[in-house]
Amino acid sequence: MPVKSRTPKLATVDECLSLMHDGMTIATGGLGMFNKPCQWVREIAKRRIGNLILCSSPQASYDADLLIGAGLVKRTNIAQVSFDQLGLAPNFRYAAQRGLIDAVVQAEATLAGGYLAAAQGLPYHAVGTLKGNDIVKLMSFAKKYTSPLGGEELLAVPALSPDMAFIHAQEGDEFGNLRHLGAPAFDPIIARAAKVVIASVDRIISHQRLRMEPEKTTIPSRFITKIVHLPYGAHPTFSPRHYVEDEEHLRNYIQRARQSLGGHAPEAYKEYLEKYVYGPKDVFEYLELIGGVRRLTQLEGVW
Amino acid sequence: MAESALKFTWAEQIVCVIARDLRDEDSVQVGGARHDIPYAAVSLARLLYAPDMTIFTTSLFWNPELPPLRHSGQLASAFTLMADAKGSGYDIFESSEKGVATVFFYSGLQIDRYGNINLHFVGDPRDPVIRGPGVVNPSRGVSAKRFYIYAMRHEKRTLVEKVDFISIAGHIDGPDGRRKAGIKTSGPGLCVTPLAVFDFDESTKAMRLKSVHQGVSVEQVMENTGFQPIIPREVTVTPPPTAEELELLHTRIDPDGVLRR
Repeated sequence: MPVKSRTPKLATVDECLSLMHDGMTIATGGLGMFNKPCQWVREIAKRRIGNLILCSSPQASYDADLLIGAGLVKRTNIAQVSFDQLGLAPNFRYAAQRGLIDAVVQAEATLAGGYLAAAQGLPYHAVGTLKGNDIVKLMSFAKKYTSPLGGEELLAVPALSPDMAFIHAQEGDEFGNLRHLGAPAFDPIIARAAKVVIASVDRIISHQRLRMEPEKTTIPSRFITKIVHLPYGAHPTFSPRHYVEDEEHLRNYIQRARQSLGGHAPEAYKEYLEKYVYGPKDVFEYLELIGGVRRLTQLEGVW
Repeated sequence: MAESALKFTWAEQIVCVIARDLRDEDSVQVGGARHDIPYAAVSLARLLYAPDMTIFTTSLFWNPELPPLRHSGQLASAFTLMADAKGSGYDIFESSEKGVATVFFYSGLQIDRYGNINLHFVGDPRDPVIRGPGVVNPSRGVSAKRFYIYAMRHEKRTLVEKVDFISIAGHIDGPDGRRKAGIKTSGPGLCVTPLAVFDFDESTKAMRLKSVHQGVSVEQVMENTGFQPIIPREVTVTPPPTAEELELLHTRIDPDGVLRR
Protein backbone atom coordinates (compact mmCIF):
# COMPACT_ATOMS: atom_id res chain seq x y z
CA MET A 1 0.00 0.00 0.00
CA PRO A 2 1.46 3.38 -0.95
CA VAL A 3 2.23 5.53 2.08
CA LYS A 4 2.70 9.25 2.04
CA SER A 5 5.88 11.02 2.99
CA ARG A 6 6.44 14.13 5.00
CA THR A 7 6.59 17.41 3.07
CA PRO A 8 9.85 19.32 3.36
CA LYS A 9 9.74 22.96 4.42
CA LEU A 10 12.81 23.91 2.41
CA ALA A 11 12.04 27.03 0.46
CA THR A 12 13.58 29.84 -1.54
CA VAL A 13 14.01 33.40 -0.37
CA ASP A 14 11.34 34.56 -2.84
CA GLU A 15 8.85 31.99 -1.61
CA CYS A 16 9.33 33.15 1.96
CA LEU A 17 9.23 36.86 1.26
CA SER A 18 6.10 36.53 -0.87
CA LEU A 19 4.42 36.00 2.52
CA MET A 20 5.58 39.39 3.67
CA HIS A 21 4.08 42.79 2.90
CA ASP A 22 4.24 46.44 3.83
CA GLY A 23 3.12 47.40 7.31
CA MET A 24 3.76 44.05 8.94
CA THR A 25 5.07 43.55 12.45
CA ILE A 26 8.21 41.49 12.15
CA ALA A 27 10.69 40.13 14.68
CA THR A 28 14.35 39.34 14.33
CA GLY A 29 15.96 36.66 16.47
CA GLY A 30 19.54 36.31 17.67
CA LEU A 31 20.76 38.67 20.34
CA GLY A 32 22.93 41.76 20.07
CA MET A 33 25.79 40.72 17.86
CA PHE A 34 25.10 37.02 17.32
CA ASN A 35 22.73 34.96 15.19
CA LYS A 36 21.19 38.04 13.67
CA PRO A 37 19.21 37.15 10.52
CA CYS A 38 21.30 39.54 8.48
CA GLN A 39 20.78 38.00 5.06
CA TRP A 40 17.02 38.14 5.64
CA VAL A 41 17.32 41.79 6.51
CA ARG A 42 19.24 42.47 3.31
CA GLU A 43 16.69 40.53 1.25
CA ILE A 44 13.83 42.48 2.83
CA ALA A 45 15.61 45.77 2.21
CA LYS A 46 16.32 44.79 -1.39
CA ARG A 47 12.58 44.26 -1.96
CA ARG A 48 11.80 47.58 -0.23
CA ILE A 49 9.13 46.05 2.00
CA GLY A 50 8.45 49.01 4.24
CA ASN A 51 6.36 50.72 6.87
CA LEU A 52 7.41 47.94 9.22
CA ILE A 53 6.96 47.60 12.93
CA LEU A 54 10.25 46.04 13.88
CA CYS A 55 10.55 43.93 16.99
CA SER A 56 13.58 41.95 18.00
CA SER A 57 14.95 39.97 20.84
CA PRO A 58 15.82 42.64 23.45
CA GLN A 59 19.11 43.57 21.75
CA ALA A 60 19.40 44.41 18.09
CA SER A 61 22.37 45.65 16.08
CA TYR A 62 22.97 45.49 12.31
CA ASP A 63 19.50 44.02 11.71
CA ALA A 64 17.57 47.00 13.04
CA ASP A 65 20.08 49.63 12.01
CA LEU A 66 20.09 48.53 8.38
CA LEU A 67 16.31 48.34 8.03
CA ILE A 68 16.05 51.79 9.59
CA GLY A 69 18.84 53.14 7.39
CA ALA A 70 17.03 51.81 4.34
CA GLY A 71 13.96 53.77 5.42
CA LEU A 72 11.70 50.77 5.92
CA VAL A 73 10.80 51.06 9.60
CA LYS A 74 8.08 53.18 11.18
CA ARG A 75 8.28 51.82 14.72
CA THR A 76 10.68 49.74 16.80
CA ASN A 77 9.98 47.55 19.80
CA ILE A 78 13.50 46.83 21.02
CA ALA A 79 15.21 47.38 24.36
CA GLN A 80 18.57 48.39 22.90
CA VAL A 81 20.06 48.86 19.47
CA SER A 82 23.84 49.04 19.51
CA PHE A 83 27.00 47.53 18.11
CA ASP A 84 28.28 46.77 21.60
CA GLN A 85 31.91 47.76 21.87
CA LEU A 86 32.01 49.00 18.30
CA GLY A 87 29.67 51.84 19.14
CA LEU A 88 26.11 53.04 19.07
CA ALA A 89 23.83 52.23 16.15
CA PRO A 90 24.02 55.36 13.96
CA ASN A 91 20.79 55.06 11.98
CA PHE A 92 18.72 53.98 14.95
CA ARG A 93 20.05 56.80 17.07
CA TYR A 94 19.55 59.43 14.39
CA ALA A 95 16.03 58.34 13.53
CA ALA A 96 14.94 57.88 17.15
CA GLN A 97 16.35 61.24 18.24
CA ARG A 98 14.61 63.11 15.43
CA GLY A 99 11.35 61.24 15.71
CA LEU A 100 11.72 59.75 12.23
CA ILE A 101 10.75 56.45 13.79
CA ASP A 102 8.62 55.74 16.82
CA ALA A 103 11.23 54.06 19.03
CA VAL A 104 9.03 52.53 21.69
CA VAL A 105 10.91 52.31 24.97
CA GLN A 106 11.13 48.65 25.92
CA ALA A 107 13.11 46.59 28.41
CA GLU A 108 14.24 43.01 28.28
CA ALA A 109 11.45 42.03 30.68
CA THR A 110 8.63 43.71 28.73
CA LEU A 111 9.72 42.23 25.42
CA ALA A 112 10.44 38.77 26.82
CA GLY A 113 7.17 38.92 28.75
CA GLY A 114 5.29 39.89 25.59
CA TYR A 115 6.76 37.01 23.60
CA LEU A 116 6.20 34.58 26.48
CA ALA A 117 2.54 35.56 26.75
CA ALA A 118 2.06 35.08 23.01
CA ALA A 119 3.92 31.75 23.14
CA GLN A 120 1.68 30.59 25.97
CA GLY A 121 -1.53 31.87 24.39
CA LEU A 122 -2.14 34.29 27.25
CA PRO A 123 -3.31 37.89 26.82
CA TYR A 124 -0.51 39.30 28.96
CA HIS A 125 2.43 38.38 31.13
CA ALA A 126 3.14 39.74 34.59
CA VAL A 127 6.37 41.68 35.05
CA GLY A 128 7.38 42.50 38.60
CA THR A 129 10.68 44.30 38.17
CA LEU A 130 9.96 47.59 36.45
CA LYS A 131 9.63 49.77 39.45
CA GLY A 132 10.84 53.17 40.51
CA ASN A 133 11.95 54.24 37.05
CA ASP A 134 10.59 56.56 34.37
CA ILE A 135 10.60 53.86 31.72
CA VAL A 136 7.19 52.58 32.80
CA LYS A 137 5.68 56.04 32.31
CA LEU A 138 6.53 55.81 28.62
CA MET A 139 5.12 52.32 28.23
CA SER A 140 1.60 53.18 27.20
CA PHE A 141 1.19 49.64 25.89
CA ALA A 142 1.50 48.14 29.39
CA LYS A 143 -0.78 48.48 32.39
CA LYS A 144 -0.11 48.50 36.11
CA TYR A 145 -2.33 46.26 38.20
CA THR A 146 -2.51 44.74 41.63
CA SER A 147 -2.12 41.00 41.88
CA PRO A 148 -5.55 39.45 42.54
CA LEU A 149 -3.83 36.94 44.82
CA GLY A 150 -2.32 39.51 47.16
CA GLY A 151 -1.33 43.10 47.09
CA GLU A 152 1.72 43.14 44.86
CA GLU A 153 1.91 45.83 42.20
CA LEU A 154 2.67 44.33 38.81
CA LEU A 155 2.87 45.39 35.22
CA ALA A 156 0.74 43.59 32.62
CA VAL A 157 2.65 43.35 29.36
CA PRO A 158 0.45 42.50 26.39
CA ALA A 159 1.16 39.43 24.28
CA LEU A 160 3.47 40.24 21.40
CA SER A 161 2.82 38.08 18.37
CA PRO A 162 4.75 39.26 15.31
CA ASP A 163 3.25 38.60 11.88
CA MET A 164 6.56 37.14 10.81
CA ALA A 165 9.76 36.20 12.61
CA PHE A 166 13.19 35.71 11.05
CA ILE A 167 15.63 33.43 12.82
CA HIS A 168 19.13 32.29 11.95
CA ALA A 169 20.58 29.05 13.33
CA GLN A 170 23.75 27.13 12.52
CA GLU A 171 22.10 23.92 11.38
CA GLY A 172 18.71 22.61 10.42
CA ASP A 173 17.08 19.86 8.40
CA GLU A 174 14.75 20.03 5.43
CA PHE A 175 11.71 19.92 7.70
CA GLY A 176 12.74 22.99 9.67
CA ASN A 177 14.15 21.44 12.83
CA LEU A 178 16.83 23.84 14.05
CA ARG A 179 20.06 23.41 15.95
CA HIS A 180 21.73 26.41 17.55
CA LEU A 181 25.32 25.52 18.29
CA GLY A 182 25.63 28.38 20.76
CA ALA A 183 22.97 30.03 22.85
CA PRO A 184 19.51 29.95 21.27
CA ALA A 185 18.76 33.16 23.18
CA PHE A 186 15.14 34.22 22.60
CA ASP A 187 14.69 32.32 19.33
CA PRO A 188 12.71 29.43 20.86
CA ILE A 189 10.29 31.90 22.47
CA ILE A 190 9.98 34.16 19.44
CA ALA A 191 9.35 31.11 17.24
CA ARG A 192 6.47 30.11 19.50
CA ALA A 193 5.10 33.67 19.61
CA ALA A 194 5.12 34.62 15.92
CA LYS A 195 2.44 33.74 13.40
CA VAL A 196 4.88 32.84 10.62
CA VAL A 197 8.47 31.83 11.33
CA ILE A 198 11.13 31.89 8.64
CA ALA A 199 14.47 30.28 9.44
CA SER A 200 17.81 30.38 7.73
CA VAL A 201 20.72 28.07 8.50
CA ASP A 202 24.39 28.07 7.64
CA ARG A 203 24.18 24.38 6.89
CA ILE A 204 21.43 21.92 6.06
CA ILE A 205 22.07 18.58 7.74
CA SER A 206 20.35 15.33 6.96
CA HIS A 207 17.12 14.56 8.71
CA GLN A 208 18.47 11.13 9.65
CA ARG A 209 21.48 12.61 11.34
CA LEU A 210 19.41 15.19 13.21
CA ARG A 211 17.06 12.47 14.48
CA MET A 212 19.93 10.51 15.95
CA GLU A 213 20.61 13.38 18.35
CA PRO A 214 17.22 14.90 19.19
CA GLU A 215 18.68 16.46 22.34
CA LYS A 216 20.58 18.86 20.10
CA THR A 217 17.48 20.27 18.42
CA THR A 218 16.76 23.72 19.83
CA ILE A 219 13.53 24.47 17.95
CA PRO A 220 11.35 21.66 16.59
CA SER A 221 9.87 21.99 13.11
CA ARG A 222 6.38 22.47 14.56
CA PHE A 223 7.27 26.12 15.12
CA ILE A 224 9.00 26.79 11.80
CA THR A 225 7.05 27.74 8.69
CA LYS A 226 9.86 27.68 6.12
CA ILE A 227 13.58 27.00 6.18
CA VAL A 228 16.12 28.35 3.71
CA HIS A 229 19.77 27.46 3.33
CA LEU A 230 21.63 30.77 3.57
CA PRO A 231 25.28 30.04 4.24
CA TYR A 232 26.91 32.72 6.40
CA GLY A 233 23.44 34.19 6.73
CA ALA A 234 24.34 35.91 10.00
CA HIS A 235 27.31 37.79 8.49
CA PRO A 236 28.57 40.30 9.69
CA THR A 237 27.36 39.11 13.11
CA PHE A 238 28.59 36.04 14.92
CA SER A 239 27.38 32.51 14.22
CA PRO A 240 28.52 30.35 17.15
CA ARG A 241 31.03 27.64 16.26
CA HIS A 242 30.87 28.65 12.60
CA TYR A 243 32.28 32.15 12.15
CA VAL A 244 33.01 35.21 14.26
CA GLU A 245 31.85 38.79 13.84
CA ASP A 246 33.33 40.57 10.83
CA GLU A 247 34.66 43.54 12.76
CA GLU A 248 36.17 45.16 9.71
CA HIS A 249 32.90 45.01 7.81
CA LEU A 250 30.94 46.28 10.81
CA ARG A 251 33.33 49.19 11.32
CA ASN A 252 33.00 50.11 7.68
CA TYR A 253 29.20 49.92 8.00
CA ILE A 254 29.15 52.13 11.10
CA GLN A 255 31.58 54.62 9.61
CA ARG A 256 29.60 54.96 6.39
CA ALA A 257 26.36 55.48 8.29
CA ARG A 258 28.02 58.13 10.45
CA GLN A 259 29.54 59.90 7.46
CA SER A 260 26.17 60.09 5.74
CA LEU A 261 24.25 61.24 8.77
CA GLY A 262 26.93 63.77 9.66
CA GLY A 263 26.90 65.15 6.14
CA HIS A 264 30.62 64.59 5.51
CA ALA A 265 29.92 62.05 2.83
CA PRO A 266 26.19 62.03 2.19
CA GLU A 267 26.43 59.17 -0.29
CA ALA A 268 28.55 56.86 1.87
CA TYR A 269 25.70 54.89 3.35
CA LYS A 270 23.77 54.72 0.11
CA GLU A 271 26.87 53.26 -1.47
CA TYR A 272 26.90 50.57 1.19
CA LEU A 273 23.28 49.72 0.45
CA GLU A 274 23.87 49.72 -3.30
CA LYS A 275 26.91 47.52 -3.05
CA TYR A 276 25.96 44.99 -0.38
CA VAL A 277 22.17 45.06 -0.22
CA TYR A 278 20.54 46.13 -3.48
CA GLY A 279 23.23 44.89 -5.84
CA PRO A 280 23.83 41.20 -5.08
CA LYS A 281 21.39 38.84 -6.71
CA ASP A 282 21.68 36.32 -3.88
CA VAL A 283 23.65 35.39 -0.78
CA PHE A 284 26.44 33.89 -2.87
CA GLU A 285 27.06 37.15 -4.71
CA TYR A 286 27.02 38.96 -1.38
CA LEU A 287 29.63 36.59 -0.01
CA GLU A 288 31.87 37.31 -2.98
CA LEU A 289 31.59 41.04 -2.32
CA ILE A 290 32.57 40.79 1.32
CA GLY A 291 35.78 39.04 0.37
CA GLY A 292 34.77 35.59 -0.76
CA VAL A 293 36.39 32.41 0.42
CA ARG A 294 39.51 34.23 1.60
CA ARG A 295 37.60 36.43 4.04
CA LEU A 296 35.19 33.70 5.13
CA THR A 297 38.09 31.39 5.89
CA GLN A 298 39.55 34.05 8.14
CA LEU A 299 36.27 34.45 9.98
CA GLU A 300 36.01 30.72 10.45
CA GLY A 301 39.66 30.24 11.26
CA VAL A 302 39.40 32.05 14.56
CA TRP A 303 37.97 28.91 16.14
CA MET B 1 49.40 54.82 54.27
CA ALA B 2 52.51 55.14 52.19
CA GLU B 3 51.92 56.06 48.60
CA SER B 4 52.06 53.09 46.26
CA ALA B 5 54.95 53.25 43.84
CA LEU B 6 53.15 50.94 41.42
CA LYS B 7 51.88 52.40 38.20
CA PHE B 8 48.21 51.94 37.45
CA THR B 9 45.34 53.64 35.63
CA TRP B 10 42.00 54.86 36.95
CA ALA B 11 40.29 52.04 35.10
CA GLU B 12 42.45 49.49 36.91
CA GLN B 13 41.66 51.23 40.17
CA ILE B 14 37.91 50.94 39.58
CA VAL B 15 38.30 47.27 38.63
CA CYS B 16 40.14 46.51 41.87
CA VAL B 17 37.62 48.35 44.06
CA ILE B 18 34.75 46.34 42.60
CA ALA B 19 36.64 43.03 42.54
CA ARG B 20 37.49 43.26 46.25
CA ASP B 21 33.83 43.83 47.07
CA LEU B 22 32.55 40.70 45.27
CA ARG B 23 31.95 37.55 47.32
CA ASP B 24 31.67 33.81 46.87
CA GLU B 25 27.91 33.80 47.45
CA ASP B 26 27.34 36.36 44.70
CA SER B 27 25.88 35.51 41.34
CA VAL B 28 26.76 37.97 38.61
CA GLN B 29 26.00 38.57 34.98
CA VAL B 30 28.69 39.86 32.65
CA GLY B 31 28.46 40.91 29.03
CA GLY B 32 26.54 43.48 27.10
CA ALA B 33 27.64 46.82 25.83
CA ARG B 34 30.59 48.74 27.26
CA HIS B 35 31.41 46.31 29.98
CA ASP B 36 35.20 46.16 30.12
CA ILE B 37 35.30 47.32 33.72
CA PRO B 38 32.80 44.92 35.30
CA TYR B 39 34.15 42.13 33.11
CA ALA B 40 37.69 42.68 34.38
CA ALA B 41 36.44 43.07 37.98
CA VAL B 42 34.57 39.77 37.81
CA SER B 43 37.59 38.08 36.22
CA LEU B 44 39.88 39.37 38.95
CA ALA B 45 37.46 38.48 41.73
CA ARG B 46 37.21 34.92 40.43
CA LEU B 47 40.99 34.55 40.56
CA LEU B 48 41.61 36.27 43.89
CA TYR B 49 38.59 36.95 46.04
CA ALA B 50 35.51 34.95 45.12
CA PRO B 51 36.35 31.67 43.34
CA ASP B 52 32.91 30.22 44.09
CA MET B 53 30.98 33.16 42.66
CA THR B 54 28.52 32.12 39.94
CA ILE B 55 29.05 33.97 36.68
CA PHE B 56 26.80 33.99 33.66
CA THR B 57 26.76 35.91 30.41
CA THR B 58 24.00 37.86 28.68
CA SER B 59 23.50 34.91 26.36
CA LEU B 60 23.24 32.64 29.39
CA PHE B 61 26.41 30.66 29.47
CA TRP B 62 26.98 29.56 33.05
CA ASN B 63 30.45 29.89 34.54
CA PRO B 64 32.09 30.56 31.19
CA GLU B 65 35.75 30.95 30.43
CA LEU B 66 36.56 34.63 30.70
CA PRO B 67 39.09 35.26 27.94
CA PRO B 68 41.33 38.33 28.17
CA LEU B 69 39.98 41.76 27.30
CA ARG B 70 40.44 42.91 23.74
CA HIS B 71 40.82 46.43 22.41
CA SER B 72 37.69 46.08 20.35
CA GLY B 73 35.85 44.77 23.37
CA GLN B 74 34.47 41.38 24.22
CA LEU B 75 32.34 40.67 21.22
CA ALA B 76 29.74 37.94 21.50
CA SER B 77 32.14 35.34 20.15
CA ALA B 78 34.37 35.60 23.21
CA PHE B 79 31.94 33.78 25.40
CA THR B 80 31.02 30.51 23.80
CA LEU B 81 34.25 28.61 24.00
CA MET B 82 33.72 26.79 27.26
CA ALA B 83 31.17 26.93 30.05
CA ASP B 84 29.38 24.72 32.56
CA ALA B 85 26.07 24.97 30.75
CA LYS B 86 24.09 27.08 28.33
CA GLY B 87 20.64 28.53 28.83
CA SER B 88 18.15 30.46 26.72
CA GLY B 89 15.85 33.45 26.77
CA TYR B 90 13.64 31.64 29.29
CA ASP B 91 16.50 31.73 31.77
CA ILE B 92 17.16 35.38 31.01
CA PHE B 93 13.59 36.35 31.86
CA GLU B 94 13.54 34.17 34.93
CA SER B 95 16.93 35.31 36.12
CA SER B 96 16.05 38.96 35.91
CA GLU B 97 12.53 38.70 37.36
CA LYS B 98 13.52 36.51 40.26
CA GLY B 99 16.93 37.96 40.98
CA VAL B 100 19.03 34.93 40.09
CA ALA B 101 21.69 37.53 39.44
CA THR B 102 22.27 38.86 42.93
CA VAL B 103 24.74 41.50 41.78
CA PHE B 104 24.74 43.76 38.76
CA PHE B 105 26.68 46.69 37.29
CA TYR B 106 25.38 49.84 35.67
CA SER B 107 27.02 52.84 34.11
CA GLY B 108 25.15 55.91 32.93
CA LEU B 109 24.98 58.99 30.74
CA GLN B 110 23.91 60.71 33.94
CA ILE B 111 24.18 59.53 37.56
CA ASP B 112 22.68 61.55 40.38
CA ARG B 113 23.19 62.02 44.10
CA TYR B 114 20.73 59.21 44.94
CA GLY B 115 22.35 56.81 42.52
CA ASN B 116 19.61 57.04 39.93
CA ILE B 117 20.89 56.27 36.46
CA ASN B 118 19.93 57.70 33.09
CA LEU B 119 20.73 55.81 29.91
CA HIS B 120 17.82 57.04 27.81
CA PHE B 121 17.33 60.78 27.38
CA VAL B 122 19.43 63.82 28.18
CA GLY B 123 17.17 66.86 28.15
CA ASP B 124 13.42 66.63 27.78
CA PRO B 125 12.48 63.00 27.03
CA ARG B 126 9.94 64.23 24.46
CA ASP B 127 12.58 66.25 22.64
CA PRO B 128 15.94 65.00 23.89
CA VAL B 129 19.34 66.57 23.32
CA ILE B 130 20.71 63.04 23.38
CA ARG B 131 18.76 59.85 22.79
CA GLY B 132 20.95 57.36 24.62
CA PRO B 133 21.32 53.70 23.86
CA GLY B 134 18.71 52.73 26.45
CA VAL B 135 19.24 49.84 28.78
CA VAL B 136 18.56 46.23 27.97
CA ASN B 137 17.78 45.14 31.46
CA PRO B 138 16.70 47.69 34.06
CA SER B 139 15.00 44.86 36.00
CA ARG B 140 18.21 43.80 37.69
CA GLY B 141 18.31 47.15 39.45
CA VAL B 142 15.13 46.01 41.18
CA SER B 143 15.66 42.26 41.53
CA ALA B 144 19.41 41.98 42.22
CA LYS B 145 20.31 42.27 45.89
CA ARG B 146 22.70 45.12 45.16
CA PHE B 147 24.32 46.86 42.24
CA TYR B 148 27.44 48.79 41.51
CA ILE B 149 27.60 52.04 39.62
CA TYR B 150 30.73 52.76 37.65
CA ALA B 151 31.31 56.03 35.83
CA MET B 152 33.65 56.26 32.86
CA ARG B 153 33.99 60.01 33.39
CA HIS B 154 33.96 62.11 36.51
CA GLU B 155 32.44 65.32 35.22
CA LYS B 156 29.67 67.68 36.21
CA ARG B 157 27.55 66.67 33.26
CA THR B 158 27.77 63.00 34.21
CA LEU B 159 27.46 63.26 37.99
CA VAL B 160 24.40 65.48 38.21
CA GLU B 161 22.08 66.77 40.91
CA LYS B 162 19.08 65.01 39.38
CA VAL B 163 18.94 62.81 36.30
CA ASP B 164 16.68 63.98 33.46
CA PHE B 165 15.18 60.51 33.23
CA ILE B 166 15.39 57.52 35.55
CA SER B 167 16.31 54.43 33.57
CA ILE B 168 17.37 52.50 36.66
CA ALA B 169 16.17 53.48 40.10
CA GLY B 170 18.83 54.14 42.68
CA HIS B 171 17.44 55.43 45.95
CA ILE B 172 15.06 57.60 43.88
CA ASP B 173 14.46 60.60 46.18
CA GLY B 174 15.83 59.51 49.52
CA PRO B 175 15.70 56.92 52.27
CA ASP B 176 12.14 55.78 51.50
CA GLY B 177 12.41 56.02 47.72
CA ARG B 178 12.80 52.35 46.94
CA ARG B 179 10.30 51.16 49.53
CA LYS B 180 7.65 53.60 48.26
CA ALA B 181 8.19 52.29 44.75
CA GLY B 182 7.61 48.73 45.96
CA ILE B 183 11.24 47.70 45.63
CA LYS B 184 12.59 45.34 48.26
CA THR B 185 16.29 45.18 47.41
CA SER B 186 18.99 47.51 48.68
CA GLY B 187 20.02 49.10 45.36
CA PRO B 188 23.29 50.87 44.68
CA GLY B 189 26.05 50.13 47.17
CA LEU B 190 29.07 51.83 45.67
CA CYS B 191 29.61 54.34 42.90
CA VAL B 192 33.14 54.18 41.58
CA THR B 193 34.51 56.88 39.28
CA PRO B 194 37.90 57.73 37.77
CA LEU B 195 38.55 59.99 40.78
CA ALA B 196 36.84 58.49 43.80
CA VAL B 197 34.63 55.95 45.51
CA PHE B 198 31.23 56.96 46.88
CA ASP B 199 28.89 55.01 49.08
CA PHE B 200 25.44 56.03 50.28
CA ASP B 201 24.76 57.61 53.65
CA GLU B 202 22.61 55.25 55.75
CA SER B 203 20.07 57.86 56.87
CA THR B 204 19.70 60.06 53.77
CA LYS B 205 20.72 57.59 51.07
CA ALA B 206 22.61 60.41 49.39
CA MET B 207 26.05 59.86 47.91
CA ARG B 208 28.92 60.19 50.34
CA LEU B 209 32.56 60.43 49.44
CA LYS B 210 34.18 57.26 50.75
CA SER B 211 37.69 57.62 49.40
CA VAL B 212 39.67 59.47 46.78
CA HIS B 213 42.04 57.61 44.51
CA GLN B 214 45.76 58.05 45.06
CA GLY B 215 46.89 61.44 43.83
CA VAL B 216 43.39 62.94 43.77
CA SER B 217 42.27 65.70 46.16
CA VAL B 218 38.86 66.17 47.72
CA GLU B 219 38.72 69.61 46.03
CA GLN B 220 39.27 68.01 42.65
CA VAL B 221 36.35 65.67 43.28
CA MET B 222 34.12 68.55 44.38
CA GLU B 223 35.04 70.66 41.37
CA ASN B 224 34.02 67.91 39.01
CA THR B 225 30.85 66.74 40.70
CA GLY B 226 27.54 68.32 39.71
CA PHE B 227 26.08 67.96 43.20
CA GLN B 228 27.27 68.38 46.75
CA PRO B 229 28.18 64.93 48.05
CA ILE B 230 28.37 64.27 51.77
CA ILE B 231 31.97 64.75 52.82
CA PRO B 232 32.88 62.90 56.02
CA ARG B 233 35.40 64.43 58.38
CA GLU B 234 38.03 62.03 57.22
CA VAL B 235 38.30 60.97 53.62
CA THR B 236 40.68 58.08 53.08
CA VAL B 237 42.71 57.20 50.03
CA THR B 238 41.32 54.32 48.00
CA PRO B 239 43.65 51.36 48.53
CA PRO B 240 45.55 51.30 45.24
CA PRO B 241 45.84 48.13 43.17
CA THR B 242 48.26 45.68 44.79
CA ALA B 243 51.21 44.12 43.01
CA GLU B 244 49.30 40.83 42.92
CA GLU B 245 46.20 42.41 41.38
CA LEU B 246 48.25 44.27 38.80
CA GLU B 247 50.18 41.16 37.86
CA LEU B 248 46.98 39.24 37.19
CA LEU B 249 45.53 42.16 35.27
CA HIS B 250 48.66 42.58 33.15
CA THR B 251 49.30 38.91 32.48
CA ARG B 252 45.94 37.15 32.44
CA ILE B 253 42.98 39.51 32.34
CA ASP B 254 44.21 42.42 30.27
CA PRO B 255 47.51 41.62 28.56
CA ASP B 256 46.66 43.98 25.68
CA GLY B 257 46.31 46.93 28.04
CA VAL B 258 42.71 47.85 27.31
CA LEU B 259 42.45 49.28 30.82
CA ARG B 260 45.80 51.06 30.44
CA ARG B 261 44.79 53.18 27.45
